[in-house]
Amino acid sequence: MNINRHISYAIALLGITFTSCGDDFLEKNPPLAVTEDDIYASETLIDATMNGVYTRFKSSSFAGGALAIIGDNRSDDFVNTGNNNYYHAETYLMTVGSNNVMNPNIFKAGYIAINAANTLKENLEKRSNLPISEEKRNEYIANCLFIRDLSWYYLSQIYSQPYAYDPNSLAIPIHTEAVTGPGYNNAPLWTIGQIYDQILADLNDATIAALPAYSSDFNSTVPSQAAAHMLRQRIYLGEKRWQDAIKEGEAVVGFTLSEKVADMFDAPYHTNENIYSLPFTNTERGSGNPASYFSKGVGYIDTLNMRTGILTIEGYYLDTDARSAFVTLDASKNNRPVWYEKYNEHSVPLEWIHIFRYGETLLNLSEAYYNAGNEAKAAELLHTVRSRSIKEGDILDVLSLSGDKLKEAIYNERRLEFLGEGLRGYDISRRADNYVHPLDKQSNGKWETIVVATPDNKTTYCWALPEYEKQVNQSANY
Amino acid sequence: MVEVGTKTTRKNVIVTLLLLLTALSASAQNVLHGTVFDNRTQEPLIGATVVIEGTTKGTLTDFDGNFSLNIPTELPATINVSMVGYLPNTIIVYDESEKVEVFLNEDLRKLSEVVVVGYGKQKRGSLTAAIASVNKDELKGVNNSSIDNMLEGISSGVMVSTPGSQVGQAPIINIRGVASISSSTTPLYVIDGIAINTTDIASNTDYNPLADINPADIKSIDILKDAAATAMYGSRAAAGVILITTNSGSADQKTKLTYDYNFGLSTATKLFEPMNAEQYTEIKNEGWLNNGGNEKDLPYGTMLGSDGKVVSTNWVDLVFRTGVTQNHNLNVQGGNDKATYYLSSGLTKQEGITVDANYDRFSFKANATYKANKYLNVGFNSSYTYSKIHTADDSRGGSLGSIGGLTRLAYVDLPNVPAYNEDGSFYVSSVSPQNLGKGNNRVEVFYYNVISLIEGGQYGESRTNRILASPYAELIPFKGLTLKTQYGIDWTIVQNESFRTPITGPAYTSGGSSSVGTSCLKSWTWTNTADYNFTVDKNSFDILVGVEATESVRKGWTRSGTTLSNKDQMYVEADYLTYGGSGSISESSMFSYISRLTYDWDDKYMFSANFRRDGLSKLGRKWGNFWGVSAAWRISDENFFAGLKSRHIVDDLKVKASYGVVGNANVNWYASKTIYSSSTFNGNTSYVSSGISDPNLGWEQTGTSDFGFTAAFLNHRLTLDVDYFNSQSKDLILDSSQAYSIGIVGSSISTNLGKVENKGWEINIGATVINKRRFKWNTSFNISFVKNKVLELEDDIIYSSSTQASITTEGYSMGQLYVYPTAGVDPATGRRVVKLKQADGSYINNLLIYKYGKGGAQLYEMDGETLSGHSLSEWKPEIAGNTKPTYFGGWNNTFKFRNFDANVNFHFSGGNKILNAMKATLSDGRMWSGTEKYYKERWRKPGDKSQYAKPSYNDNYSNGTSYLNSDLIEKGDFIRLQSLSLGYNFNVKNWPADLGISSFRVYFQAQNLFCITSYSGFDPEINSHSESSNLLSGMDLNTTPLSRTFTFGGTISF
Repeated sequence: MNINRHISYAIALLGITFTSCGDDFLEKNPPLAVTEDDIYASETLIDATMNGVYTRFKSSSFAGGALAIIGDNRSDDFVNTGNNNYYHAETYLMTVGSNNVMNPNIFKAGYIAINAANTLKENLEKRSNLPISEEKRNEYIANCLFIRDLSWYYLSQIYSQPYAYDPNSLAIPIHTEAVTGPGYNNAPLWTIGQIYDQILADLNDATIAALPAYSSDFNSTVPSQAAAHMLRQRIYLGEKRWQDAIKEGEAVVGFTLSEKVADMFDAPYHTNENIYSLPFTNTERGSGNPASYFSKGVGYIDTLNMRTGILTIEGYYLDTDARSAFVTLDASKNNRPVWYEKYNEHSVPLEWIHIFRYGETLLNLSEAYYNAGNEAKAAELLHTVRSRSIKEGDILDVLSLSGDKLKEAIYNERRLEFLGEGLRGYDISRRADNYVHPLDKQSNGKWETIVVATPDNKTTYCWALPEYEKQVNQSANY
Repeated sequence: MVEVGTKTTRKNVIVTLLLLLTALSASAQNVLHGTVFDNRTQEPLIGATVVIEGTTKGTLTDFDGNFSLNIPTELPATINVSMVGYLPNTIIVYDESEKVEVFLNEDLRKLSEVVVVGYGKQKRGSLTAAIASVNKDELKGVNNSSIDNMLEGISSGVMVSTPGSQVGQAPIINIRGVASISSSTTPLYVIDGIAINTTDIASNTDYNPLADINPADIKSIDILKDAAATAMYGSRAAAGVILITTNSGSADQKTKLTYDYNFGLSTATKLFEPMNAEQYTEIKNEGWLNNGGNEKDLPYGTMLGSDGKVVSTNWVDLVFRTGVTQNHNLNVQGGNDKATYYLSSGLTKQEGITVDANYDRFSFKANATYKANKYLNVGFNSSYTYSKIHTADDSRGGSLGSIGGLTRLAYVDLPNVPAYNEDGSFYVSSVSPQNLGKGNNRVEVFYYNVISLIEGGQYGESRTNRILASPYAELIPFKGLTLKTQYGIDWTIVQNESFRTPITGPAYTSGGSSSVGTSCLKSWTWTNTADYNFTVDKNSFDILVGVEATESVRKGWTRSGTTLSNKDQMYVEADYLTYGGSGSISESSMFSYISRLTYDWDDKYMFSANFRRDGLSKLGRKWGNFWGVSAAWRISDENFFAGLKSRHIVDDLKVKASYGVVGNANVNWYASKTIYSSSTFNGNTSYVSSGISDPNLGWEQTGTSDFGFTAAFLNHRLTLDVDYFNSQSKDLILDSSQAYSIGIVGSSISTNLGKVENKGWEINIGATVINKRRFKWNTSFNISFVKNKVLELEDDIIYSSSTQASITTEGYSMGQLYVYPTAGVDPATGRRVVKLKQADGSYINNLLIYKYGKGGAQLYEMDGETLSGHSLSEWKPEIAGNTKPTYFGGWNNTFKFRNFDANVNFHFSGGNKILNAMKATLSDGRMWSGTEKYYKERWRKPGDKSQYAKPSYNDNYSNGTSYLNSDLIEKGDFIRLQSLSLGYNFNVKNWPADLGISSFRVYFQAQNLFCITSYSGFDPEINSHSESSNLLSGMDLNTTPLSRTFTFGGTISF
């Protein structure tokens, strides 16, 4: 055989075997998960992805537990006696450093909610031919803005010095755009003032208009106009823009106080007072809810501060106050009040976590009116909330108070009304007050206290950014 | 065809040792009698030519290999013996009256010994790549339940180690180092041309997918090592390729039936002696007193049994046992010029060395070929395997280091309490009945009663059904061209089952729990190749082109049940109060273009090039190009070499060089897809992102260069192979750290960013030491030196929790030990000396003293009295040793003496360090027990030089449970008698022909007879993290020791 013939055979073979392969054969998508292309082709999946943003926000490491627990552990109404860093001992002691064991999970959970919201928002904004109505698209974009803004708000309360202390305090890293791939580790820290500006810009009137208004079948488990007004109101209170705060509060309409505070903490957990609440069900239990810290069933983790806490102040632990029923006595300790069981479902935790409720709207308004100089209105709003729980036998006549006495009564009422819901810690920080702990000694028949954090000392007043964040995000390593 | 007297052979260096014992014969013509044998098979050779040198006088051997030749009277006479396919041999006859025996060696070049290469075969003589071959004879005497275990120490460059001896445990195999960081470095296994799955898909036990292949069915194993060879498998070849050929009948074979049975006994190679009740009680109370505890208030105490004696339980004796193994293998094979067949069936029943651990396997295999006509061959290879792994040890799911494992419990359970109550019920705590009872100790025990777990019904089980089948057809339109199509299926179904007893243990509080499920992995591969070989003058060409498609689907579901409705019904099938469940489906596909050109000129100049293009569904950049080129030069065929060659000083010398680029496809199924998974929000479906993937994820690539030579000396009695290799892996898939503020689950994105280097030497020496008819000794020795080095990482990879003290960092080999530096135990105070590194790099020494209830672990000045002012957080871990062996190899010997045969195989390895964390945990100050060695060698009085610190109550620091320290690091060098076998072949020829027995051999084998090492733990091969051995190696913690097996058996053929 001659060599040319061999070569021509060989070339012919190449031609036969090198048939092309369809790219379809190499395109494999997971049958039990979905990709973004799947999602934005289906209204059901877009709805589910919107729910996914709420799922992330509801994480027990974030709004579904941790945020409320942090607020109470930083407050002066509970004492963390658990001495366990996995149960916020360092949160209580105001010594949460960059290597604290709880710090990374809480920080991460917040940003996972933020990026989930940003990602959905951007896809809704950028993709065309979505299988949903324009109205729903705008509503969902507004929902995403609300979730990221609320997350930024809470993170900046924990990691930043207060706006009231210095609006230029460096707070937290901010991504205003979705991150979908590597290469975005360096996110600059924004000041708390910049963050508040961004939140107010996000939640402008157009955004609010896209959200559901109050209605007879109001759903408090998703963002609404009222919820957005509440967030704006909290920002304005933080910025001491009292008139704006009043305007936001007055915009919250349709809601009423429930018969009893306890109504919101017993099934079905929603009343006409709920503005924005995180729901739990039998298959989505609130494993990290406040009951796992404050209830009798978990032992001694967070116990009531019965030396200097709100219950030790005259008029705030009345037998006729319906809220006193939340106090649980310890039979083994001479029936001392130890636990606060507003959240008491610790083995099957189904209680909803209330981010905004109408009681807060009224007390926020009361505080804003007081600071704006309208003491009568302030006292009236205070009375509305207080008299819901104390139908008779109140030893305080709040309607008659004025000046500092009135202010103190408003502050104290907030402490009692939201005891166990975490607001107190955030109130202290919003007002740039000192954090104060009770001491184990008395003088002149009163328990002494100690200042554990002042707003000028960032190390104690704020949580440090997690070590890992500082290592990976160079901008955070200052 | 016989060529008579054409070959002239010079005097051989092998001189037959026939001494002149008698006087020279006076007759004019002498007759020499003799027999010619094949040196390897020992079969007589028919038709060999026997010629007197320098004449044409000669003869041929007869049917029995015998010859008679008239030789001249003047002795000595030189006789040349030759035969086609064999190297000629020369003998010098000094005395014709002695019958001579002549052995001929096969001429491997001329006989074209074939080596299985990717998608075909090649003559060994003209190989240009690094390929190691192991044939059945070499594996004789190595009896293992799995192929991969058999390779230990057999071939250079192939490191096989046994990380433990749980039933179903797979060994770790690294061919030429570790060429990936995050992806699996299990080699690609190709059985009869079809790549098989090696993913462990069992969830409740260990499972070795390679054990589904019955080793008795294997004919040969070829290991492709350098890129020139492996590039035929392109993207899957970075970890090397192991080609397995199973048995087949041959064309000229009468039907033969072979039955083999053996019976074996296995025990642990080494166990530590645990403390007895008195020793335990004494050392624990000593810790109490050392901590300033009250003498009248001792926390530990022995208890008396009803017989009045102190209760002392040796849990180790209760947990470990002698396991019995039985193997039956039956096969029938045969063939004629039209068809061949091989049918076999095997049954293995193996007991593990811990109680209630069993492995059963039933396998069936059928291979057949049929030659339809001169143009068409068809055939199939198929096997079915059922295996069951059952164990009470629930410490699975990846790590053998689990603290709930039987090995750990056997050592930590308290010796001064009984296993059972007097009434036979389990001895458990009255306060928390899931745990062991505390006896007369004041401290509650937080470990389970290990016997109550085993006998109370805890188990995990995997039952595997696996089918491997590959029919094929070959069309030969004209000579030289072969068109082949092969379709292979690999289908594995594993039924997973686990049960946790409600009586005690982890599921006591939940009232029992179970999990059942099925994992299924099914792949098909369709390969079409055209192979064309032709010769023009002395130029030989072989061109192969082909396409291959493969698709895999993996499915799984589990159902878990918690709280038995009726606690007496301890079955996974029983009713439970609550149920859970989940499922998964994954799919992947690959499409490939294959090509290879081999060329040689007269077997002297050889060249080979191959190219493969693979597309893989798992990646973002799906297509990758892989290729290899290699060349070899047989110097010994050059004219200038003729002198050495003709004197048989050097018979053959070939130098070779190659370079190639291959990939690693062992990446996650959807590695480049950003996926949302389902959850719920307020009872409605929600979808959440479960992480972000790099949409541009591409192939990991390894480029390897190889230089080497193979040589044969002294008439092929000595062979030498030397290879140098240097492989550079890049684009390794690693998690790129993402700031928390990015907000993605896992805070990392897998992307191509790492670089690793592996380089080293491989040396193989083979020798025929003694070559007599009645006594033969062949030996082969191999040694490899491999250096692994991480070149580029984004961040150090640190496993810092106390049991995983490992770091992978640039400039070092992967998985460095990372522990706290110590200067031992201070003889004066008995306290641990910790070394604190100062800013200038120097160290200062402090004592670590643990005082229970008085500040815990704190640092003191060397006087042991004054607090030093340094805090424990200043004690920082340091890189403390390489865990990858830098040299390893084997020394394998086969002996034949009359009817006896013997194999002795050694395996050695070293240059690595091991963290003996087991030693730390078995000398802990807390409530649990430990070794007798700890009791005997602890520090007691000033001046004692001890490796164990002064016992202190609840002290978990001083001996290293917390803060694993550098004293726990030991050398990993060892040499092991891997296997020893002795066989006897009966002279069946003398037996009545009516019996029809063609051979009968009985044998004895010992596996793992001894291991010489300075390592003080169970075994230097132990790796408690075998599932992630790239980055976590050299860790010994709570792992079942290796086993030693003695086997007796017999093989009979009809």
